[in-house]
Formats: sequence, C-alpha cells, structure tokens
Amino acid sequence: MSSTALPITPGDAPPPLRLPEPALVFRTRAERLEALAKDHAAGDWLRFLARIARGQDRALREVRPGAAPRPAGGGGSPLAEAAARRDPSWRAMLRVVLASARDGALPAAAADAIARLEAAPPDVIEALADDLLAGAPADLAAAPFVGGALQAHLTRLAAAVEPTAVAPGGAACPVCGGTPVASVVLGDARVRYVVCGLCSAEWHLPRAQCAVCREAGKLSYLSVEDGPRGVAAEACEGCRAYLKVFDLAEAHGADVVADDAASLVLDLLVGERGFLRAGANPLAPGGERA
Amino acid sequence: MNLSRRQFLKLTTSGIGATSLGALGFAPDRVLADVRNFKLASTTQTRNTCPYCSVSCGVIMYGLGDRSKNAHLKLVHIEGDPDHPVNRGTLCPKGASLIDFVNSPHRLKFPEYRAPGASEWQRVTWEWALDRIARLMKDDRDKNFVAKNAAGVTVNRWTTVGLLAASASSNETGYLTHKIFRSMGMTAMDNQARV
Repeated sequence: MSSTALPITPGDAPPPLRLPEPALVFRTRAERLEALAKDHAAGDWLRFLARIARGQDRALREVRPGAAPRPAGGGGSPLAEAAARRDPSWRAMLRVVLASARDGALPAAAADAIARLEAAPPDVIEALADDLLAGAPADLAAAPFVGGALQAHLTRLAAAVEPTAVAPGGAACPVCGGTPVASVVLGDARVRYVVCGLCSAEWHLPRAQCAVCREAGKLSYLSVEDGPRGVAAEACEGCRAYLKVFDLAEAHGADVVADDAASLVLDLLVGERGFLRAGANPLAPGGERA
Repeated sequence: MNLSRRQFLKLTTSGIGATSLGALGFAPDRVLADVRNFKLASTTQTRNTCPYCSVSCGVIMYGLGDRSKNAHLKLVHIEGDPDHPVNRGTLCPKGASLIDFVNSPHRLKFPEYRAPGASEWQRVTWEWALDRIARLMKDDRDKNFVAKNAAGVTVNRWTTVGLLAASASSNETGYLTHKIFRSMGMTAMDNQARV
C-alpha cells in the first residue's frame, strides 16, 4: 500500500492511514496561522504561534536527524518507544523553535518562558516533555515550545514509518500513541481522518460517530452561529466529550492545529455547555484536568 | 487503546488563564467578548439508505436543530456516505437530489383520491383508501383468478394485478410482502422502485 496515493477519488476504499510530509506540514501551518490572524480576536497570539511553526519548519531543515528508531515489535504503535525515550536531537529542534519564537514582539510572560527554557538543563526539558506527553501539562507557558519541538521531531519520524506495520487507529494515534488534536473531513472524498497532535499522522475513522466512545446516536455538531464555516465540535452526549472536526469542503485550506487554535471561542462556548475537550493541541494547550 | 478519562480537559471562560494564550501573557479580552456575543448552532448527521432503488446507497443526512432538546429537525443537506461499502460516498443524479424530494412543497404526505373521470384530487383518510384498495382487489381477483390452466393443471394465479413494493425494505418486509401477495396468487411483483 502506498501512503501517498492521493488524491482519493470517490469510489475508492479510503486508505486507513495518511502519513505527514514534514517539508510541507509546518510551512503551510505557519501560512495558515498568519492568514487566520488577520482581524482575529486573538491575532497577536496566532501570529506568535505562526513564528513557532516557522521555527518547526526551520528545525526540520537545520537539525540533522538522530538515529532511526528501532522498529517496534508486537504490533504496538511503532513510534511509542521513540516518543517515550527521545533522541537528543529533539532538544536541538527546541532551540531553533525558541529562537524563531523570540524573533518579534512578545508579552513579558512569553519572553520569560523562552529565557527560562533556553537556560534549562536537559533533564528539566526532558521532564517538561514527559509531563506534556502524559496529558495536560502543568507548565502552560513552556508547553507550546516543548510541544512544538516534539511535534517536529515525531512528524519527521512518522514520515518514515512503514504504513503496513501500523495497526488500525482508535481513539489514540496508531503511529505514536499520541492524543488527536481534531479530525478533518476531506473536501473531495468526504472521508474523515483523525489527526495526531504529536506526529501529524492521520487515521481513518467513519464519520458521524464519536471519536472517543464510537457511539453514533448521541452526537451533535456544535458550531458558532454565523462563525467560520466548516468548523464544528463533534460533541457526544454519551461520554460528554468533544473533538473538533474541520470540513475541508467549507473550511478551505484549514489546518487542524492552526484552525483549532483560531477556534478557541468554540471551545469556550462548548465548554460552557459542560462538554470536555478530548483533543490536545501541543501549540495551544489549555484547560483544567476534568 | 482508549483515551483515559484524565486526558479530557475542562475549558471554560473562567479558566481562560489556564490556556497557553493566558499563560503566555496575551490579552484574552476580545476572545471573551466574542464568547458573550456569539451563540452555538447545533446540527446533526444521521445515516440512512437512499429509498430509490435496490442498490441501496448509504447517505448522511444533515439536520438543523438541537437533538438534545428534542426539537423538530430541519433537513438541510444530504450527501453520499463515504464509509458505506456500496457507494463509497457517491450518489446517482436522482439520489444526489434527495434533499429536494424530502423538502418539496409537492411531496405527498397523505393519501389522495381522484375519481374516475374527475380532474381534481381530494384528500382521503388512510382507512378509506385501504378499504377501497381492498374492495377493488377483491373484485378483480374474483373476476380474473385462474385456478386451473387449459391442460387442467392447478395453477392458482392472479395475473391482472401487480404490486410495486419498496426497494430499500428489510428482509422481514420482503418476506411479508411475498407471504401475503403470493398467497393471493399474485405473480407480478416488483421490489425495484427506480423504474
């Protein structure tokens, strides 16, 4: 099976897995963030996230990849091991991300966080990464930079994974075991893929069912009235959780990470209704543990 | 592998400080103003089967309205189900226009009757309609039922009336359709309603 057999035309069975193209992911994300920042209520923040994405793109080009991870046996996620015991090259990527984020106007808290990370010894940085991978990170000011570097590192590794070695995906990423950030419905084939926040792999999941509990009958698609088209929270009354879904037929050029950050208002409105967020965005972490 | 409950996050306006936006020192005022100024719209997506022919393509129907509030849903969009093994998201021109069939002002929602020679349709009750259909079927069967053919072999057939049934019906409906109408001797039965 070829992982790059795109575009999918109607009539074909959807490939179970789509692996990222690292050279494109972060560049298009930065451009998307800059476009979304125009006239946006949190425009400064989105422009700042665009600088992180530019840093991720630069890190992929400037930092030489470390040793290739050993192929995992036993049918587990092939990159679970590489995410838990990380090659030190990811910390070099973090330095590039920090340098890129610093290059422009910054609020004091962000400048502090960057200075703190630049001075931090490797064991402190590794502890921050472990905390981020475990779920809700405690240090929310450091998390976007650490998350950005981990994302660049794992996206590079995911691109080299042999797709046939990957078991079908469920609620967690079949490639690295990470938490999804959101899902997309492709504009042409109309198939849904859940996108990993960490390694950018996308796995097929039938539409109109809860990505967390697979219940189909208790879903509502909540969107901001008169808000951006094609952006909805797939909210399940069964498990009281939601994952955002971007319909690329209406939200043209949407990028899960960029558009998830830009639709923070939707999170807050859906959160006020009592739904819990199942998605995790390494660039824009937030929320309290439920 | 399943998401553990602790990975679910509570994200509300009072907790905006607990986001990277707040923690990094970006001003949340305008985001919070948007939360006050905007409302949520709710839609649903429901799987169904196209009613037109026995290919039975899967469709996804988009409804506008809040399912949790038991509101009456308005169908706003229908598209092929990309996950359905029969049609993989595709629909024929007739199926692709299903939404107009559902919302058509001319859609038949109750039985109507036009008397022989009359030009006007009149609304009738289901009871009246079923009684009349049964009466006409009985009269026709009494007149045209063939118990034996020319060679004297028992055939028990009734060939002057036919039945058009539903193409997307279940096995059980198909069984009952055959059980009832074959037992009357009916031979012309069609479960392919696209024609």
